Amino acid sequence: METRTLLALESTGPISGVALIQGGALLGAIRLQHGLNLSGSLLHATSWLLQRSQLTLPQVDAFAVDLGPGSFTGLKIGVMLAKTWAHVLEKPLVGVSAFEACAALAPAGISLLVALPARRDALYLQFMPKVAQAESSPPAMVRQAHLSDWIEHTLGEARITHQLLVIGTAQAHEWLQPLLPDALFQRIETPDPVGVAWAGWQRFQAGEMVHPFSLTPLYIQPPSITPPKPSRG
Amino acid sequence: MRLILGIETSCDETSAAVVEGRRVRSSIVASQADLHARWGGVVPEAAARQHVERLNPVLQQALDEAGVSLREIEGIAVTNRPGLVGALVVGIAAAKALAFALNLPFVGVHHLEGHLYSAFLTDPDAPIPFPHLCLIVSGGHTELVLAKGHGDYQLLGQTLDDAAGEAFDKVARLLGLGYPGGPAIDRLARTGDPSAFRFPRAWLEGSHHFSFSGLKTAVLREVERLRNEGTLSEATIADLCASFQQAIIDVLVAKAVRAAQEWQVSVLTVVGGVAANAALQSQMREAADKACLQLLIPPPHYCTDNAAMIACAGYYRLLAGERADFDLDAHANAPLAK
Repeated sequence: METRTLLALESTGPISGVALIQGGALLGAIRLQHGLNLSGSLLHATSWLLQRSQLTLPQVDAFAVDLGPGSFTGLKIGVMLAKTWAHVLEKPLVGVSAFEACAALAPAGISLLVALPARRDALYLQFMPKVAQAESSPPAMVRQAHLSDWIEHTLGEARITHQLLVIGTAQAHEWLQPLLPDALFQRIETPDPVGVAWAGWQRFQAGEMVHPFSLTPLYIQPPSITPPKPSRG
Repeated sequence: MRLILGIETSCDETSAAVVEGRRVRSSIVASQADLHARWGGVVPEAAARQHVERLNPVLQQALDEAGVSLREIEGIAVTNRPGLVGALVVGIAAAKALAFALNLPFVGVHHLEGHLYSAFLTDPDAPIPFPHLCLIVSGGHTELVLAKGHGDYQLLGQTLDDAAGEAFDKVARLLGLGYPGGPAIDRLARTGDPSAFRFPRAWLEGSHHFSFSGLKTAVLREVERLRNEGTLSEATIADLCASFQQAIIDVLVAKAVRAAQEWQVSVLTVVGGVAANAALQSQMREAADKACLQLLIPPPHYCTDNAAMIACAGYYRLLAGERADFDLDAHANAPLAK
């Protein structure tokens, strides 16, 4: 009987969270608006969840983390916590994208378009068709003005001939509904830690682990290079 | 409390170190200078991303070189202020994760307090004399601090505008010398005439404060004049570097020695990246000798940002019973002392 545990961290948006899976069953999850101290909030939540589950961190068998895209600072904090735990406790680590985390909680047998907030004028998008042999589109950041072109090019006939579920924030809903009038919409604020846990658990079961030294967030956007700061030292 | 793991990610150096009190067992610094050179200065988001990639391997290397396992570490010290917030949070997250996983005490350390302790890393057996005067000169800070005891500091003076290192970087950029500017100006100044150009010195009489923006503007005007005349040769650039550098050194040396005399201390330390400047070191030594002051300047690898100095400062805080909790946060600006 499978009894291994996996701890998952979600920190890509304004609501962060922790989830714990044991043997393929959800032991518990915490979602919280973290305010300014994200790492502190995640650690308090992790500590509480482990205590309630009568576990200690070294007893966790694997760690999963949402790699993004999302808040740059949130990504870095979540990834650093997960990779440092995996590193020092010598435990397996899996990374899942924010798109995968959303898809993990979606109904089966339907094509998905996951739309997450990027900048004020753009969305992070990934299309996951449920057609045999079809691959997911590469994750992309698309400006509002280019959404129509991206949808036509990426979704093709799927936008009208297949059942399509759009998972996204209120802004994504507002921008995409006129372009996809036949699609179903599911509103979310941020990816759910339970989705990170399920997607992570499947990766863990499949042996798709990553070395903590090589795990990096999925930023999609390059760093803003202005203005430069003087060196310290 | 013996073995402390230090973490420093406040700007563009990813660093981890293991110290045993003041004895450095390992000090690893992964510099990002090459990355940021293309932009002429530190790009905060790029620096933070590099920390995420490099910190865990750097931590492992620090442990390996120290010949210790994580199980032997007894406390963790991490820079939590001041600095680039996006960069600081990476080190803080790693420190909290380590402390949680291994059930270890940890503390947040002020970056400048770390620099202050860097003067005492070279000879771990020599006592740390209190009170002593510390001149902190780096890219982000120029401060005169009276250290009265461990964790007990009084700010005597600070720059009212640009830090000394900031002035070095800006003048180097103006002259097309690349980034970081300090080493390039130090090198060129050796072949230049420090009296070729008479640049202003802001003495700010009656205070221990500093000001370098007027000097920077004077260099800018001189460079513009020379460019317009078509006389900005390599030799002239060397003279400009030497004259600019001398103007900074004159002020730093005179003010540091004067403050040490005024506060009747016998030990003066000079720390921070600018303390690695060869001309500053020799002229400060000469002035300190004349004033019968003991001068301590760390070797160059402890002048620039490093985690050994953070671990050392953290060691004394942990020894005094200080403990941080999960709510420890990053702060872009925070005074070392009032």
